Amino acid sequence: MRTGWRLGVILLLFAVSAVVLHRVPAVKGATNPVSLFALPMAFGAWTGAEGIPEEILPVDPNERLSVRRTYRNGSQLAWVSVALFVGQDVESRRASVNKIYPQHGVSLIEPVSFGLSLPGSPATSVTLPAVIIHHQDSRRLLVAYWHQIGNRIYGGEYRFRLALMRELILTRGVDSILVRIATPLGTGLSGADERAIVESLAPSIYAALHREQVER
Amino acid sequence: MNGVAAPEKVVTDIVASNGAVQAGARPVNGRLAWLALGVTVLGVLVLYAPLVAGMAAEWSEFPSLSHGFAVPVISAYLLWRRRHFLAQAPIEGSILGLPLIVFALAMLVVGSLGGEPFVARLSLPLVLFGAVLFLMGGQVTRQSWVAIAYLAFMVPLPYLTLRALTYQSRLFDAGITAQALGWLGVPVLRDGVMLHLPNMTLEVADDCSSVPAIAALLALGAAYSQMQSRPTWIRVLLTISAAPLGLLSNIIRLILTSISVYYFGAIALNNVIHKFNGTSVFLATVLLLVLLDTLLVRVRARESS
Repeated sequence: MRTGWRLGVILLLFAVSAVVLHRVPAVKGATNPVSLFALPMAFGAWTGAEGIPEEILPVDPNERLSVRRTYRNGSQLAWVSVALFVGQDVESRRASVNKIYPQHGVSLIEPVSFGLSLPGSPATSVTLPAVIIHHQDSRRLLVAYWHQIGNRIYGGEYRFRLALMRELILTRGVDSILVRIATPLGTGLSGADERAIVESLAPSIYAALHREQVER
Repeated sequence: MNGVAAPEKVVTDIVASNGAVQAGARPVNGRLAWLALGVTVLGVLVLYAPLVAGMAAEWSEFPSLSHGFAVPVISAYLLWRRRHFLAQAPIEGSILGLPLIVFALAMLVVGSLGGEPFVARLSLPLVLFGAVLFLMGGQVTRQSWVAIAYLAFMVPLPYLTLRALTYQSRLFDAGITAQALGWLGVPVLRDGVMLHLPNMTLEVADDCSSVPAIAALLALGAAYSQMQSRPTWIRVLLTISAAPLGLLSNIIRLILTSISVYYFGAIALNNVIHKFNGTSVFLATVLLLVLLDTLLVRVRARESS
């Protein structure tokens, strides 16, 4: 009798789990790509042109859509990619960490990070993950990136995954964007100048995407 | 002779006493409990069918995960080896199993709805463990926990963790290989994961890292240690040694490949050892495990004597 009760409890728990798993609504894959196109063609003295070489910032096969631009300010150069990922209950629809920066023909990927204060209400302080990529042909590239869900930005991969999980469970739908900023190193500027490029562009990009989100 | 005979008699009496208890009460409850466990396992299979199918697809897609097919078989074998102990173990279901089942099912739901398959998949051995404890009790769980825990090896590691580990391992492997090549008189310049030899530049690529196979190597170590009649400390040591031994095998393979390239050129990259990365590391790890096991058994024998 006692065993029968125990079995009953287990089967009841299994049934409840199965019902929960099968009755929840499917993840919404609705996408509104307008926010991507909020990325302006010019930021102050920076002017943009469409396109980024694949060896600088590879296209992630999992992205639904992306805006990829090359910005110039005199001799300074920066590449900005804003990619949209939708319906991320399946891993194949997520930003893949190996596509965040190029790895082909790379001898060393050196992690660096720097703190930024981003506009908004209230202003957000965030530490962006970044890497210095040492290419085999002595080229060096600084790549900084962040994930963004709505107006919340995530520098760490694990924090982003936890946020995705929370959104998927609670809202059954989450679109996220991955913003990557790359600039070449060793073009005569000091390292601090190259960091300054990213540090000046990142708040402007965030402000443009943030404004779009607020207006929507 | 007499001093030996008396304890044997006592042992026989205890066994007879247990047998009497079993004859009186256990068969009905025992059979019912085992039947309940069978039904529960069936329920687990139904509930987890989509997850198991997903795992099987990954096992067949990625060679470094292909050991996943062997894990349930080895787990069943480990259980079968304990069948006599399981048959003797008294059945007294423990309420402690219930919170475990609830926790595991919560992991299943959160992992499945949150799109984190690792969390959901890892709940499978946990729910089995909880069910055995809840229905059969502590004695049966003690005899079967190794086989159940072994199922965790079939769960592919989360991609993010694997990716970070793989890159660090590539840097580490390249560093050690360059160091060893220097000692062996082979001129080499290491630049991150690149090894510049006078005649060729080699890249310690993702496939050259043994990290993706680390779960397979740990599974191998655990299976090897469980199949030998060894004290617990040797079993634990053999299990946890499999991963570093696998890394060591891989570094030896990289050193041999680099030396071959230095002396024979690009043709050395087309040899069997380099082509079958995973297999050669796997076989070398087995060899090193056997050597370590032999060494530990000798140490133990010497200490005993």
